Amino acid sequence: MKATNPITPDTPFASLGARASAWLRARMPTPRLRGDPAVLGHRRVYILPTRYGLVYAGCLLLMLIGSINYQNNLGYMLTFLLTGLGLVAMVHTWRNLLGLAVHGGRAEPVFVGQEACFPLYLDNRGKRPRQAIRADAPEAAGMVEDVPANDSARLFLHAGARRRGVFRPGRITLSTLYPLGLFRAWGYVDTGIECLVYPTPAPIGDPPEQEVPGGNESGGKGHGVDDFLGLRPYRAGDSLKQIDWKALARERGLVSKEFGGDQTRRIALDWELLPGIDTETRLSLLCRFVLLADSQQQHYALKLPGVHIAESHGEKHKHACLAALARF
Amino acid sequence: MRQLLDSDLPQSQISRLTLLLGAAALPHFNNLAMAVMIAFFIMLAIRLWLSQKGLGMPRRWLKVLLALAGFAVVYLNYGSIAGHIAGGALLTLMLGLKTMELQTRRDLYLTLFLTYFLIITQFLFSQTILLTLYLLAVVWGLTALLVSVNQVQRTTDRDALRVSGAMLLQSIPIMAILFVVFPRLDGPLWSMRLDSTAQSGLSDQLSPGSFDRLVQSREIAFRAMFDGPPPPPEQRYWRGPVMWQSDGRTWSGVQNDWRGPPDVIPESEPVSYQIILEPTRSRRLLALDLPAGPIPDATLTHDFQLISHHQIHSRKRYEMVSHTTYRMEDLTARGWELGLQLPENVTPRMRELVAEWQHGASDPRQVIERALGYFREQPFYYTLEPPLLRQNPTDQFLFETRRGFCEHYAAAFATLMRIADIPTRIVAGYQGGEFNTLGDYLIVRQSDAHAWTEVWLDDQGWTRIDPTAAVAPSRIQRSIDYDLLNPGEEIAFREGGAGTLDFMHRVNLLADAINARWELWIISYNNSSQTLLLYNLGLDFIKHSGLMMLSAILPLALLALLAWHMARRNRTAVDPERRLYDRFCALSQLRELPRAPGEGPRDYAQRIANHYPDKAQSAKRIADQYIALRYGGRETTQQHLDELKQSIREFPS
Repeated sequence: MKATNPITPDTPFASLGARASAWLRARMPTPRLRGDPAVLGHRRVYILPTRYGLVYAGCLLLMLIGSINYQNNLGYMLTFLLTGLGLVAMVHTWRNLLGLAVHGGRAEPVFVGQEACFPLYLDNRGKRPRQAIRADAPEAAGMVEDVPANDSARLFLHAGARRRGVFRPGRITLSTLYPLGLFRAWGYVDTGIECLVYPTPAPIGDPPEQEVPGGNESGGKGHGVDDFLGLRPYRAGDSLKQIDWKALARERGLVSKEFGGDQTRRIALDWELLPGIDTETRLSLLCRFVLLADSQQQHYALKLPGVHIAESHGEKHKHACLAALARF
Repeated sequence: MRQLLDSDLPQSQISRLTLLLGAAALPHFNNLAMAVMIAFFIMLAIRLWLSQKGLGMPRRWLKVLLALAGFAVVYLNYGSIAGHIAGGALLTLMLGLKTMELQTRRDLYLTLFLTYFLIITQFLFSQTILLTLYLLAVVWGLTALLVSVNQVQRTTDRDALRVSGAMLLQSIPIMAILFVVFPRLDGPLWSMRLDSTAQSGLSDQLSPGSFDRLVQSREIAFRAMFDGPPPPPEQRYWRGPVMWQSDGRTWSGVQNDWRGPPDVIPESEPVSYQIILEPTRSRRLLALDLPAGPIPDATLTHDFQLISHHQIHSRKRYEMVSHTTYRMEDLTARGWELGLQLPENVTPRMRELVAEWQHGASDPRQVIERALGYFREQPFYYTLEPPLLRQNPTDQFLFETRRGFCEHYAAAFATLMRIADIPTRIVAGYQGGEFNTLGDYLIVRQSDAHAWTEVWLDDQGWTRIDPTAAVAPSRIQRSIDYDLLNPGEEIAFREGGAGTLDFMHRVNLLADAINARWELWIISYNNSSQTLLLYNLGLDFIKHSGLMMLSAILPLALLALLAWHMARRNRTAVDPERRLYDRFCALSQLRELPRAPGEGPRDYAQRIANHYPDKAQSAKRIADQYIALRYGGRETTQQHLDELKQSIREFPS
């Protein structure tokens, strides 16, 4: 498999192609359901010569003129053989894509800033292998893969997840230059692939300046807190309920409150506890807390305006919470 | 895409292209200056060495220097950089230089296309079958290279060769159709003459020694294919230049007076035949004595020379009709005058000799008989290396040396006949030829060049008299055996009869037979053969524009056929059980658990069972039914299919 950059197709009619593609989109069948393969039928495979194809045609024209002028029959023969080769290559390129079935797989959720990875299944039901099939999406780097005869292949489209929420890389362009690179055949499929993008977990910041301890009763909702001892920089492994949320909200980074007594294993992560900061920061803080709580195998609940996820634990619970944050 | 296309190529592919380029240029060793070829191959060797060592490309200034040196080498060798030889040399050198900066995909495509150009220049020099097959193999290699640079996984070379071979085979019908129907023009678009090399073939003048070079050449002058049986050897006189005027040493022709040839009364069935003439770079065409009429783009002169309207730069094929025995009447006054012209150096002993023959002879025929008898009975020898003749060649030859070749006998005989007041002229051409029974045609070589005379007899017109036949009758029956030709000795003649031909000679004849077909059908295919072909097919209503349209339509029709065939093979030939199983995999209940590519039915059933214990039973049943149908080896019946269909329908939601 080979990664490439998503750049406009290598056809010489780029602007024309842009206008044409708008027209084509109107002709496209309605998007299919996820899991349903989209098949590139003969009405959905387009083909144009590449730059090299045009240069090749120019060469053939010169060879033909030479053959006419020297009245050289073997010159004619070579010219016509190569003409035939070019035409046959066109059919082969078209055939390479024709009837290819495509369906998208499930993309694993990622955090903002990470790379989303969309699996794409190319299903070849024909008797000939298909070589060098390339998939591109407007927001994803293209990939090239072979599909053996009567078999399928999987490739991944990679795209940086830049925004929280559901990330759809857009309509997929399948194309191929095989076998000679003189023509490019392509077709559009809408596989409906998508990827859930969780918010970025808030960074664990530097310790703030020495601070006078605030009121201890506001230091969290944890039950059974014994004696509040003071504040110290956050250390890995500190329990969530030790965190001084207000300090966090004032953007002083993560500060842990030291308690002398026992700790309980239950927390509620509440949107309302982070007042006065913007939505995205709130979400990213909550995201960090979910991850922290999960890494400490604590039980936690998540409360967002209109969403309430009951207290639980485990991988499934974590993803449910993160998904709620992503979709917020 | 750009990144993929312009990415650097692996060294192995650069090496392959370099080797193929070398293979494409190799036959130019025959055509181009040695300095050019050596420089070219040194550049390729350097490129291969750099690839091997993984070293960088030469610097820019070095490449510029090499390019200038290339121009200089070509200019110094040819005095020009235009024309097909110098142009070919320049292209070769520049391609050698191009390998020095062969790095990206773009470079590869450019070099590869230019290599196709280099291949086409080979055909300007030679058009043999072997060369064509060789260059076809190179084209195959180049195409395979194109396939392999477009593959993702670099599979084996065999794979790329197989794909490109199949594509080339598929393009052959398109090539054949285009070759036949693409309209051929009569002349070039603009004058782009092939640079001429030394002239070969008959000269328009005759003097002692003018046949030496020809007779030692085994080159083929032309091939002749007869519609019926070939004429017997003693009638195979191929008429070329006719000489009337003598200055005592050299015989030459007269200007055509633009009057057509005199009427001929044939006395035998006409002989129809085709001639494929090798390029002569003159306008002379050969025909069996005596041509009955001109061909479309040639003139028949008053003395029956066939002169083309264009120079013969490439092989020419034409159809002719001749009469081997004939009669004609009325010699013009100018004909009498020219036919009796005598040089100034006629000596008294020549006149005495003629007077002796004329004594008591009432008929010119008797004089002629006596003259031939003189050559036969006196010690004349037929040899290719006669002694040098100085002031008066005819006199010296007749009375002193008496050793000579056909031109000596013809010249001497013509002079003597004119002294006897018999109008005489000398005809040069070819005599005989080797009949290739394997290909059913006659091969006439330069070594068959010959000269004879024609005398005017009142009741018969111009009559062929071959004085050489009086001295060496075997010359007329058989060809000179060039394998036994020893300068200075008497000439040996090839023994007739196919039975005595040795094996190698048979192989040569077979090869020539194949070559002749190649010439006839491929190399000499032109405007007139195209017209003839259309006529024979009853399609002669199709004109140039129609051919142009056919050239566009027919290949596209073939292409559509290919596309249809390939699309059909592409279509799913899915068995019914596979279709059912696919339907099962696409069930909405399993949306969350799609079958992974390549996952076997049993594994998939197991995975379903792990995920949805309630569906385990059904999944397993479906997998079993499917496996039994697909791989069980038993007959697929509708009942089994229905069972599978039922199980899928009953799959729990």
